[in-house]
Amino acid sequence: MPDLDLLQGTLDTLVLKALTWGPRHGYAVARWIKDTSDQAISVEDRALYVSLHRLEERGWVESQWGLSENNRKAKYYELTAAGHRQLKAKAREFTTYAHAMFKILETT
Amino acid sequence: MRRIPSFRRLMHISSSRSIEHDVDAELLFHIEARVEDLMREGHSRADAERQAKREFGDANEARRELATIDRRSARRAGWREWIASVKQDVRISWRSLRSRPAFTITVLLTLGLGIGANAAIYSVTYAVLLKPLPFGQPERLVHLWETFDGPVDRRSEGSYPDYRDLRDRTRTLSGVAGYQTSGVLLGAEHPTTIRAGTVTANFFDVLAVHPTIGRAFRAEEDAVGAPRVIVLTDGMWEREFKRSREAIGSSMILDGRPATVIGVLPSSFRFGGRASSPDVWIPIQQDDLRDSRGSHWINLIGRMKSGVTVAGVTRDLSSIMNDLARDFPESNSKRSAVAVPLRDELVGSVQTLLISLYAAVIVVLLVACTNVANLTLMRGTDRERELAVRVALGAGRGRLVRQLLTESLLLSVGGGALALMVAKFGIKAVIAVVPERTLVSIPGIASAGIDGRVVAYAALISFVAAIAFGLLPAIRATRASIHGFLKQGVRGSSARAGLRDGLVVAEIAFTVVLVSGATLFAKSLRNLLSIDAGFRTEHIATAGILLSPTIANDRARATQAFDRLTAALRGVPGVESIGLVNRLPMNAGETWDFEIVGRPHSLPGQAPTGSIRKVGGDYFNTLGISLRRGRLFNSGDTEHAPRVVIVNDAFVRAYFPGVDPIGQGIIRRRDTLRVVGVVHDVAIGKVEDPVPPTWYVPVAQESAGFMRVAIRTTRDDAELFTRLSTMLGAIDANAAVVEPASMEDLVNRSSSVFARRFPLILIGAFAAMALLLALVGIYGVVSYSVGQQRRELGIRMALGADARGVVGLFLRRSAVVAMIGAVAGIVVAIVSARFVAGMFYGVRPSDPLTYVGASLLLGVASLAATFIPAMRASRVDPTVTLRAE
Repeated sequence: MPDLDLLQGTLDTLVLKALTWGPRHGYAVARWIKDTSDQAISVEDRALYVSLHRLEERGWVESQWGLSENNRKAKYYELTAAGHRQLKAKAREFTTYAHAMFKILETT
Repeated sequence: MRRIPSFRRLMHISSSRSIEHDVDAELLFHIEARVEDLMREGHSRADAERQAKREFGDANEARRELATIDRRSARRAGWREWIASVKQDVRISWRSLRSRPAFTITVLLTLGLGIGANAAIYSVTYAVLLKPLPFGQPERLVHLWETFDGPVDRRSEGSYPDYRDLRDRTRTLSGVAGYQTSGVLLGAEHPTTIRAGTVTANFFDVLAVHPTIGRAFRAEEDAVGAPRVIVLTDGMWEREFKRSREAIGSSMILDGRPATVIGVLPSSFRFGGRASSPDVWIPIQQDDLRDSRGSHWINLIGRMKSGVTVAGVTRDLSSIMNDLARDFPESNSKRSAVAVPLRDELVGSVQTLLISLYAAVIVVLLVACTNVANLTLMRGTDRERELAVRVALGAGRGRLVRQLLTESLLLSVGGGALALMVAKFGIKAVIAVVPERTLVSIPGIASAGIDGRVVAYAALISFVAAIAFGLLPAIRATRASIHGFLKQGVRGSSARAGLRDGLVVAEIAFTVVLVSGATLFAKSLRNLLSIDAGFRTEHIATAGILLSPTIANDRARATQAFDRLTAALRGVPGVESIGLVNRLPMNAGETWDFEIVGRPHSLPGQAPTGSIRKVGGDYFNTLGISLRRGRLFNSGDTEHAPRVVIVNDAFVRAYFPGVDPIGQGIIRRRDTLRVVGVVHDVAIGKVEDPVPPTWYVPVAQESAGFMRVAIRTTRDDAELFTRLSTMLGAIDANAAVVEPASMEDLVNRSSSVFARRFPLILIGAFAAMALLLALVGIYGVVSYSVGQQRRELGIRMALGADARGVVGLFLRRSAVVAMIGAVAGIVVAIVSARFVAGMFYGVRPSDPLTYVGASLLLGVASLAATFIPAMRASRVDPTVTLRAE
């Protein structure tokens, strides 16, 4: 498993991204990450929930109990305005970082 | 997604149990959803459950971790909500206070004045009475007096040989030191005068004070002929050396001779009382009085050993003095010694004064608080409707009380802030009232100011005042409103009207106390100033003449210098006459023993004594002291002429009753002086004290280095003093004119006048404040009852009552309230005046006129405050009022 700090920060950003399409429960977030990354990113579900709860603590997401597709009680998470801002900032950071890395690696 | 309204969320409840429950439910949902998906992909249930659990990771760890995060987050949310609700309370309170500006401003001003005056006096009282003296273990320091049990019991300074014996023989004191103060000349040409403390070398050791730079005196430095050294006060270091460390080791010219600076005292160091806070400290080095047991001139202080009491020190000293009286009966018979705590000696004179001022200002505070209570009570009734509506809408009583508490706290913060401004101004005003000479003798008063302690004090008082006199009445008002309002409409209950009247009674009573106190001081001052002190004060300019030491110590040259100065002054146009004296009236000085020719020699310690004054020029005529018999001194009474003396009436009464004093002989040491005249009594010490037997000798026949000149003139004083300096410079380049002042100023600054004028001004100011507050209170209460009784008045007037009847109704009621208040006030005033009876002069603490006057003033004031709102009531149009109901 890669460095935990990096992982946590990365995971938080992925979770925020997962919620940009509206409220989702934890399981849906997990599925979305696995499907969208073509199974390339695989994390323990536990870590994902820790991330969701932390994001809620920081006020970047809000949670609410709702009913799932098959009528079961599930906890839904939703981005707050602060969460949207955080996601934007993180996305910019990653892009800059990735560009820099590519540039260095492609130097011959 | 369909939302489920969560009851818990709605009620902001998040117990620990519910958090864990939620976490479990969330995780369970995840596992179940995953298992279902896997089974849909074709896994067996058991297989699916295993895989789901593997993908999830350590579930127990996760439950713990998530619950921890959620609990933390719930706590934070709770805080955020609490702060939001406080903000809301503040916002509501702010709006509510702003919507009633008259109420708010009155309460703020009332609290500001009451608490501000209080904080100012507290600051001064703390600085003077409570702040530890700036010495090490100051509670162990004592002042030592020699006592004399003769025809008059009295205390005196010690003699140097007695000091030496007390210091060496005491068992109760770890150290005894001596000090004295005098003016000295600083600088070579055109010197200025500064105050010097002349001390024994161990003085600072006994005080346990260490210089911040340099050192204190060494044991050998108070020996006769030792090198001259100086310890500077912080102020002097600043003034002369701009706080440079180079000061140590540099030289200053004191009294015409160089002396080396060896140390600088801490800035906190102040030594008041009999030393009047000198600017520099030098060791005692002169030898002329060291061996004379009969000369009492040195003030003594001592440091008690641990476990010793002041009474123990007195016993110890008395037994030493008894031994000395046996060994040296000529000088020491009937002499003993007594120790008093140094603090009492330094601040004793102002202690009663400050405590009475503090009491007075507490009374002002009570009036202020009563006002606040009254205003709040009335406002509480006014807002019954608002509060009742909120109760009806579901606000709990706790929520309402919290709201009222917030309002009270806002008022207390505002009032407290205002109070600090009032206090800042007040402290300055108090210090400005104190004459400079008195100021330096009250240690610490100059250090009074707004510091953390005063801020804390003001905050505490405003908090307590706001809670006790703002919140409690408000809660009382809500109770009534919650229970009764919606049922029966607006009508103040008679119980509350009674409470309001009770508060007005209290206000009037407190104000009567202050007004009578101020009146008693005013009468004392008037009586004091109307005393015939035996001399005239108008158009007399006075100044001290400090000759350079070489001339001052040579009798012939000093006499010549004073003669030349007098002659030069006589030539100034507008100068009518000039007198010289070693001490002006109202300045107790030395007392000399003597024998009377033709009478048996007195027993040791029983010789007649009299206050001595050395006079020159045309002293008696200048001060308008009238001659009763015989003649005044004239130019024939020179150094070589027969010795002469003039005595006062008290002297004749004491020593020559029924005998013609003229021509009698008085023996002083080896000289015989002939009485040539008798003059009218003149106040020697305090103007209210009986005049002691006094004898005057011509300065030409006595040595006198320091003299004061009294000039009767029609000229402007300031200009005269400039000329005096110039003329003196021509006679003695190194002499200085010190303490120039008109005789009237000296009288006004004297401690007797100060002791009445100071409390008069302050208590007068407090009485005015209390009166103002009481007027506001009465006005408020009457206006309010007018509002309340509008309906009743309307009916009365509809039934034919006229305006005069309505006004009379209110006036009668106020008169009764004022009368009860005045009676209560008089009782309190008479009781408290007894405690300070010693501060009054020529007026008894139970002076009936004073109390009648104060009551009348309050009566008239309270009727005036009633009249305006009552007039308004009488103009009520009955039809309008009745329709409004």
